[in-house]
Order: sequence, then C-alpha cells, then structure tokens
Amino acid sequence: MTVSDFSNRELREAAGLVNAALVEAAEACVVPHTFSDAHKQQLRPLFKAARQHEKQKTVRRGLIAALLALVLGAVAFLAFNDTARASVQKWLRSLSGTAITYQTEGDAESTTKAVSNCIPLWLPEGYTLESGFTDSGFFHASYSKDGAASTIDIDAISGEGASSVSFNLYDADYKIRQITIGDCHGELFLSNDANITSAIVWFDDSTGTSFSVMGCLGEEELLRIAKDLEIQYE
Amino acid sequence: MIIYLQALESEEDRSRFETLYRLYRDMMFGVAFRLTENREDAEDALHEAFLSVLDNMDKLSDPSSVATRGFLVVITEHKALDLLRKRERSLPLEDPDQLPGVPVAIQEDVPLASAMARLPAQYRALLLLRYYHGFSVREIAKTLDRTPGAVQKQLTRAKQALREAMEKEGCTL
Repeated sequence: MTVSDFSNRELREAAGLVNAALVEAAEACVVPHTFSDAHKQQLRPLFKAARQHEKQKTVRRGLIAALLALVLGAVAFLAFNDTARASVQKWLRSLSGTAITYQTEGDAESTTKAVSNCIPLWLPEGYTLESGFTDSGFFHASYSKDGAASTIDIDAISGEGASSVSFNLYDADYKIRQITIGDCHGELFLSNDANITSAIVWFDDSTGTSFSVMGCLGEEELLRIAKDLEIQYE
Repeated sequence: MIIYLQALESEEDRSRFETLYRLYRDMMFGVAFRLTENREDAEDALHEAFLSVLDNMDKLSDPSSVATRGFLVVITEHKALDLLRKRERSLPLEDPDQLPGVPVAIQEDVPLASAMARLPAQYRALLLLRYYHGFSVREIAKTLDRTPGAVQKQLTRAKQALREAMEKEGCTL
C-alpha cells in the first residue's frame, strides 16, 4: 500500500467526519474569557497597522494621480512617436482600481517561461533569506535583517495571465523615473523617507516576466539588487 | 475587539468578524487553554488566531456553519501548538511535531476518519484544510505561515502517518 492508495474522495469524506467531531469536542472545551490588560500591549502593532493602512490608502490615491499623469503623458508621446510606441506598448498598460498594475500583454510574440529562482548576488549587509517560494509562475523571496525597517522583497511573475505587478506603497511623495535593467524597461518609485518602502519594477518581454524589488532602500541599492539578480527559469 | 475591526475595510466583514468573535471567543480560548494549560499562553494563541481570522474573512462567509467553526478550531490549535513549539527552544518537548490536538472521537465506523482524528494536530490540521476546507497548498501555506514547499512535504508526511495508523489497526483499503 502506498500513500496514494487514499483517493481524494475518501480523504474528503473522512475529513468531513473529523471536522464535525472536532467541532463537537471543541464546543465542550468552552472557557469564558475576557482579554487581559497585557493583551492591550499585543494590540499596539494592530493600531499601527490600522494607521498605516489608512495612510496607504491615501498614498495610493496620490500615487495613482501621479501615475495617471505619467500614463497620459506617455500616451500623448506614443501617439506621435512610432518607435517609442513599438518599444513601450508591450509592458506599460493600465492602472486598475486602487492598485498600480502593469501588464506584459504586448503585440510582439513573447516566450513565456516560469521563473524558478531569483538569487540576489548582492544585498545590503546583514540581510538574509527569511522566506521564499515558487508557485504557478509566481516567485517570491523575502530577505530580513535585525533592526531593519522592513524586509527586501523580490518577486517575479510569469506565465499566462500572471504577468502583472501591484504595489503597496506608503508615501505620496515619490520620485518616479524610467530605468533600464539589462535590456528591459522599468520604473523606479523612490521615497524620500528612508523608513518608507521604495520599489523598482521592470519587464522582460522576451520571457513574459515582470520583476519587482521592494524595500526601505535608496536608489543605488535598489538598482544594484535588480541589476545583480541571477534569474533561473524552469 | 474594536482594534481587530479597524483592520477590516468593509462593513460586512466587520459585522461578520464581530459575530465570530462573540460566538466563538470562549470556545477558541478553551481549545487553546486545553493545549497550553496556561492562561497567558492561551490568550496569546487566541490573539494570534484572531489575527489569522482577519486574513481569512473571505473563507468565513457563514459564521454559524460547521466549516467555519472547524476552521476556527484548527487555527486555534495551530497557534497554540506553535507557542508550545517555540517554548520547546528553552524547554525541550518530546517531539513538537507529534503534539496532539483536542482529542476527537469518531462515532461512525469509518476507520480512515478514526485514524485521521488520532493523528498529531499538525497533520490533522493539514488534512482538514486540504480535504475538508478545500484550501490549495498555497492557501494553507499562507494560513499557517509556512512555505508552500513545506506544506506539500508535510501533507505527504501526514498521508504517510495516516497510512501507518491504518496499518497499525490492521485495516486495508
């Protein structure tokens, strides 16, 4: 007998019975409870998170306005410039809802490859890998450092329908500028506040992959991480 | 509870969370207390469980359903046992991965369900999330703060443990 001898149906039926029995057992465990004063200390991060969330929403609105202006400018430029239109239209596509969204659904044929790993050959001192995974064309790695304001997050999205990047930014006063990583076009979102996340995003049309690096870092550091990234495909 | 509600955007989610909080807080605390045998640890586990609930409001559409209650129990067990595992660093436990959850008795004569009910809490939680709640590996990973790779590996081990438990009882499929 092997593990695969259990069919999904058998497992589902058994799990249903176990869930019902578990609930019954838990309901016999009831102990009246009111959170203690010490619990208020635990809630401080939640207060902070709620405040940050509100700030984030405000920032998104500001950023969207700024990006909208950028897109409108780009549209006007592209309307009069065939060369520019051919090189840019593959990746700069839309803003969606309250999120900043880029898509790589260009006219030119692109090879879709799934990223299996993105290894930063350089990171600011002290950062080590905290977590990482790949799943269905999505790669994520998070690097942390004791005492750092935030993690450094590296994401790559490839595969059909997955080639988009959304941001959660916390500062309305971003500097936004076009950048190039290798042969790929991208944009840099740079905060003036060292404790606020900055981001860099770029698109590799040849593989249909979008990349992003986010962290409380300066322009030089973000660009160096992005440029010194060893990208492995499945 | 007001603080938890601040973390939710929609009025509907807030209302649903409030219902969950009022209906199941004592049950969840009881589960955590049973596993940690310590009020402070149980409170910590309960707090962590509610934070997890905030992240999973989309999966808790019906507060009174047995699925919702089961999910809350699984999450609370997981958070309580996580605390015990962390404590293991200073006070070695026998085998943190083999920690039992709330004892469960299956009334029906279904050997597979009985074997699943007796599995260590970690394995039982994975199987319930996967096969009863229908979570993907990625969703389980997010819910339990694990990587998808680790979840996939543990699911395989859980099924292996289930097979061994069945064999021990002299059952065949």
